[in-house]
Amino acid sequence: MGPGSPENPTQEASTSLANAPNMFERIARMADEGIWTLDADGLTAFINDRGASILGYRPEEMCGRPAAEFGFTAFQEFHDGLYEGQTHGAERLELKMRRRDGSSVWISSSFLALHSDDRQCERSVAVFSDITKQMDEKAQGEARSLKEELLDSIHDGLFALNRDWRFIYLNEMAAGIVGKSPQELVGRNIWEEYPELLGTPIEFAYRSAMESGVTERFEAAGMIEDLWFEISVNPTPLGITVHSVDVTEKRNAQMALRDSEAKYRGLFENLHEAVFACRYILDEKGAVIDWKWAEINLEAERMLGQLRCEIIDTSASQLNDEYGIPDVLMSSVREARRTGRQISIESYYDPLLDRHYRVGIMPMNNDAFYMMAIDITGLKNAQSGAEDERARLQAILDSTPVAVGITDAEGGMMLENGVLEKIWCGRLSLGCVADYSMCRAWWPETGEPVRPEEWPAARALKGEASTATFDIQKFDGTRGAMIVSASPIFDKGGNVTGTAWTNQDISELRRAEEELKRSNADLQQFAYVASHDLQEPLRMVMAYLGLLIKRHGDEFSPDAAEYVKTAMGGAERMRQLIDDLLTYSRIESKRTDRALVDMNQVASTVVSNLQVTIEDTGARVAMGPLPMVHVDGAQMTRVLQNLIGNAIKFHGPEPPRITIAAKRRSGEWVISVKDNGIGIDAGHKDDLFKMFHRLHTREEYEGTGIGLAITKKIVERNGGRIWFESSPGKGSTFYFTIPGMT
Amino acid sequence: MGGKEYHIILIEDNKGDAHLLEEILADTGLAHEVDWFRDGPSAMKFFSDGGAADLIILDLNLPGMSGHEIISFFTQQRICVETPIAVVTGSTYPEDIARAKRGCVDRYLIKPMTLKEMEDTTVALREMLLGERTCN
Repeated sequence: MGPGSPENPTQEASTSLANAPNMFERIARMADEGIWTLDADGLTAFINDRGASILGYRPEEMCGRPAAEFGFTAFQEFHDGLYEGQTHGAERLELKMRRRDGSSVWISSSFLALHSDDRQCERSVAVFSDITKQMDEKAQGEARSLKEELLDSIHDGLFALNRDWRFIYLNEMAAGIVGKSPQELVGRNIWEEYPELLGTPIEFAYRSAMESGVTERFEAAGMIEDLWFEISVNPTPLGITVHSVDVTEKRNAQMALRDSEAKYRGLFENLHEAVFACRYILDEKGAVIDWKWAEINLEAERMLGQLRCEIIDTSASQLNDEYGIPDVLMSSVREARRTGRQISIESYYDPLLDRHYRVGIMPMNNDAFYMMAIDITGLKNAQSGAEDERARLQAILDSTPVAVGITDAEGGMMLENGVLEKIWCGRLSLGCVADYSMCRAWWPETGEPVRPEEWPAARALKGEASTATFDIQKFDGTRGAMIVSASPIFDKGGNVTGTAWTNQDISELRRAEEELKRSNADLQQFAYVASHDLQEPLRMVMAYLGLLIKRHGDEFSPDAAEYVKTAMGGAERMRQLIDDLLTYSRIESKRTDRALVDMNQVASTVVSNLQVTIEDTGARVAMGPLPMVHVDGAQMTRVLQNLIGNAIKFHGPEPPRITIAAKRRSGEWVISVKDNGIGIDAGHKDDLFKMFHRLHTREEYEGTGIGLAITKKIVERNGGRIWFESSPGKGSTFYFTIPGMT
Repeated sequence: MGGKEYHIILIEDNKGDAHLLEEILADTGLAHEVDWFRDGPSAMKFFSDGGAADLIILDLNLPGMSGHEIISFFTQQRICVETPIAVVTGSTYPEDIARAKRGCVDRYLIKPMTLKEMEDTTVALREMLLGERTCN
């Protein structure tokens, strides 16, 4: 992965980085070592208790002051060096510093640089420990031991052995290591001189090099205590040469590092994150191809389900086995090493463990990095549960022909189920309320254009839920109608944060409705005109029959008189029929004039209209108190007249007893007309109110069969319902309702 | 009363109705002469040529020119100032009634069917001939 790589699948640390200071401080506070950080300005940002006490201070006395003020110029220089483009690698040195009380203290310190992700704010960290005691012992040792004085001057030792294992050459250093002069050893057999080496890895390496001619390298403790050498054994034509370098100091430093790591381990083990310390494995070009697990914490063991000892010193490619190192992980590690910056992978799926992790990669130096991982599988599953739920909702939304969506607080479209563009036949780009003007709509009642702020979504932004029906023009130019609704969405504080809205295309419905209205009106008009024009020929029949009777009635034989009378009766029924038809068709032709009407008044009028019939039949009409209602008075008169008229007409053996009453019921009046007449069979419930429907012969009861049809039409036209209850022979009660309470 | 003979203009396309109206006029008992026009233009020509009458009986539903147009002519020519006009029609359309009453029509009568209705019509027309003009 090079600087010009096209894609970086990871994300520069942002959330994860925020965790880094926490972890750092947790470690730092518990550490046995002094930990001291300088901010970008070179001033002390943080020092732990241990660090401050090594120098005889309390942390708060040091914060905000430059390191140089405490004589720690090396740290200051390291820090300043960061800004001069020097490398960020850790350095280690030992130096003497002055404590607050004037006494001296030896410290061993290493430095490293921390980078924030914007690279603007770099921090330097010094990790240091008090080595005064060791230095004092070392100084005493120097004074005491001549041998150690000699050893101090040793650099590389070099000697050669022939095939008979006899020394043929030793330099001063090599001989000095064993306390001899080169002259003393030349010509002597090494195994005879140092039989203690027999059976050791040293003998094995020497013999292997001598016999196979292969260079051998190993580390070994010297023949003198406490010294460690890196030994390389090289075959020569004469035998072997042995080159030994004193690595005691290097080895001690490694040991110290291990010691220090042991201290940190306690901290690592407490972390919820799995932490892996890793060393890069590079190819010959210096590119990262793999890494070794140098250290892992308890959580990491748990994560992998393997023990630390099984993992450490194995490589990432070994761990991942046939899966190989996932690309996202490899490229992130390379990126981290290349940039020296933390990389976080917000969601990393590990195919080996079949789990999801948030992974952070923190480069330490050119050789090593830390990898931290938190298992987010649960979170992921919860998310995916929510996603499933969302998908189900989406499926519902997708299957509805209604456009559904939400807007933001400005009225801009945020989410939508994809129907809006279908029903508007074009693309809508609605970023705010003003954009609603692109949707052309009119108020159906007035024909006025709908202004942007009149749209339900705009009103919902003001906290008001509403529904409106608009005439619209779609983007393809066709006209239609839309039902538009919106409700505000409130946050916990009661502020409107957006709206939820729907658009329903009712163009088809509207067209069908208009078609039906037109066809109804046509029928109505036909019925009206037909019945009207039927009057003309009927008039000729009736009027001239009338003239015939008037002018020539005296001359008729009894038979002729009977014929003419029958003809007149037929004509009169025909006239009644036509009158009723006209009335029925005119109920809607006539624009209803509603006004506040006193139903007591209406009932009195009806009783007086029917006075002759009432007297003829000996009927009695009782009226309860009736309400004031908002109706067409003339039509309501006809309703009561039809019902009371029927109640009288269809009387039984007893004289008619009729009761008119009113009752309040939720939001309406129920008016009842009760009689003691012949009653109606329940089988006629459905068709009693139909046009021309008659239950009796004309000989039994007069009538056209239109009266109740007219009554029902008027009641319904005034927003009410009509029905009856009856038991044959005992009487009937007709009920009708009038909406509204007055 | 005396021997005055009333001159009546009847504008009616239906022969049956025309004859019925003549019967009704006969029932008024007043001496009269009827000039019968079967359409609007011929009636209008009569008045344009300086003709005069004591009563105009007018149907609304006429071929070619409607009764309403003829009413407009009478209004423009101020004929209705001198001569009472009775619309006698089969139309019970509310809009016909309203429109006729907006013009200079004295009576709007529905063509009678029964003897009783014929008697009522006879009374109304007699009143008009005798000059008992009512305003609508």
